[in-house]
Amino acid sequence: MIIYSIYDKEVVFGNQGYGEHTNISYSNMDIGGVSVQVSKTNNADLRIERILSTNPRDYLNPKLQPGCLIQR
Amino acid sequence: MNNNTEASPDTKPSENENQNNEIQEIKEFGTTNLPQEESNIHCLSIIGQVEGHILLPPHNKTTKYEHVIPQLVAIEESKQIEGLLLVLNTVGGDVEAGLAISEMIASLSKPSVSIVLGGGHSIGVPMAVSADYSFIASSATMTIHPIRLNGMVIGVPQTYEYFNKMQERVVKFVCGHSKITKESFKQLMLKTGELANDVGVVLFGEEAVQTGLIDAVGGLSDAIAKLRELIDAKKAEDNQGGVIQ
Repeated sequence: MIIYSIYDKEVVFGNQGYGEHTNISYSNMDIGGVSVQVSKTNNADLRIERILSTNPRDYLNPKLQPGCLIQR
Repeated sequence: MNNNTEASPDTKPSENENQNNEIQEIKEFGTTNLPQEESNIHCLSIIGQVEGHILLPPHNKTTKYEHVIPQLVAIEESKQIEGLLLVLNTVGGDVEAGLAISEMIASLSKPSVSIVLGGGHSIGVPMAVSADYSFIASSATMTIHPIRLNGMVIGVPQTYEYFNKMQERVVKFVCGHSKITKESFKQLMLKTGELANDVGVVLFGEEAVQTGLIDAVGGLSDAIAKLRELIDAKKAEDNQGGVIQ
């Protein structure tokens, strides 16, 4: 694999430098037909991190705003 | 609610009730409250690192091709979607994934417009030029540099040849989809004295346009206006084609 990036491969693959949140694990799920990336919070709830959609309307949906918690 | 698809974000009680009603609606009637106005333009954002065949550690913000490519297929297939706006703010990433996404966008039958905001570096360059028309914000930059040696390197001339070949793929794509010539693009790649630890060049918005890499300097309204213009032109062309035949 060849990386063509302005970052060195130590930054891309290593854990040095950028941020303390290196042990967050992300997963994807589907809410009402929209794919979102979620992370686990301390209370085992899921928090929406990112919407994986090309439809600009999905980003206006108040239920899908990044930071929203999802009850399990 | 045990099922993932039925989960709803934690909000105020009254809103929760509304959501439950909506979920009920989905269950009972298979319908949901769609937003009134449907957009005929879809937006694809390429952010952070472009992830390739190897999963990157979670501290990277990544754009994954297994997400992006099916979305592009869906855009091509959809009857409602008429245009694609590509928003780039990327530091680069995997060559093959980047070129794969670029080729998909370039071969899209629907009009596409790209806009580089912040940065469109390294493999972001072919992605930016893959659209029918490209914009760059005047404060945005694009870094053009040679593909560096990563991984195991054997000090033989073949190694150099191999990387040259990999680089050639990028150069060929960029020159094929923009107004820049092969010679001047390679010159930019190998320019010395601009990057601290490397050869290459940082292009500001206007400079990227002057070199012929990007079509125009502009922002969101310019990009949307251009995309609508391309959509209208395509519609007119399609109609005309129908009459002639």
